[in-house]
Amino acid sequence: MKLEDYKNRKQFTVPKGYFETLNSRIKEVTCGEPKAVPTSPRRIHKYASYFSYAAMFAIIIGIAVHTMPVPDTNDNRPATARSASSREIAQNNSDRENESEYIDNVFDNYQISEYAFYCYLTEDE
Amino acid sequence: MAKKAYNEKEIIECLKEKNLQADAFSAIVEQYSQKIYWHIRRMVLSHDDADDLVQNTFVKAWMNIDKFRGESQISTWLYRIAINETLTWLNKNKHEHVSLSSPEGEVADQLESDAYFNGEEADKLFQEAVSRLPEKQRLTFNMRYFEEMKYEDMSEILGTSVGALKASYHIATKKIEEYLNGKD
Repeated sequence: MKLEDYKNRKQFTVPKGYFETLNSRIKEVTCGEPKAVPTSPRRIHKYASYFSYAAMFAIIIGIAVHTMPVPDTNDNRPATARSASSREIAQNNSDRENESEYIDNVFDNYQISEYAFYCYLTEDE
Repeated sequence: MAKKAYNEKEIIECLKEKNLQADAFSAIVEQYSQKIYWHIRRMVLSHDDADDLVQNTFVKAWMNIDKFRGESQISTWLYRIAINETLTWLNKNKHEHVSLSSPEGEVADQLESDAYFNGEEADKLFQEAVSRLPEKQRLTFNMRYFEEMKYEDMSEILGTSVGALKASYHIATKKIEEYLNGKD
């Protein structure tokens, strides 16, 4: 077969009716009227589940914030100083326990009458 | 109602008017869609790929319609876009397409499995021979051989001199003939 003979042979084909729809498809994506965007029904289930997750998260955060010890925001001292003060606080707590023993005695005595309490407070004098 | 005859000058004038652009472009689509499709199809071979590329070509043309100043023919402008789209696509999918280094019979195999190829063994061989040409030579060959385009128009589209295109076409036909004769 000569080279010229291949020219008119119908080698390639297209799906049936292809060229009838090609122009309209091209026009649709170019100069055609803008297609109305179909509105899909609102997916309530999806958003409801998102909302429940958000609510659960908010509750967990709320509980965490509520139970978390609030740092002293006025404390502008450096970390080392704050660390030292925490040791002081521990010491103070221990002292306070001792103090409370004293206070307990006072309160034990407070159960008695005002006069007896006065006598108790002034008995050393 | 009789379809209005395509008038290039009139269409170019309409393209300059915003309110007439869509109608003018619609006329361009009707005039050139098939030509552009076959031009792309002969390069990429597959119908599905050609379908995508012909749409991309017109989408690009529409998006850049304001840049078309009417200095060249509409067909020249469309062919340039189509060629750019096709060459970009071929380069992206190079590993899937036949080149000079590809094993023989690859195009024949591809065409064998193509539902929209109707050719015989000889046609497959011919397509294999054309596919082995360098891209620009293949473009030159297709435009001249199948579309019977004038060298002057090809020169404007491809940005190559008429002399170079004639030489390129001559070399392409020789290569194809040699390939086909070698298979006899």
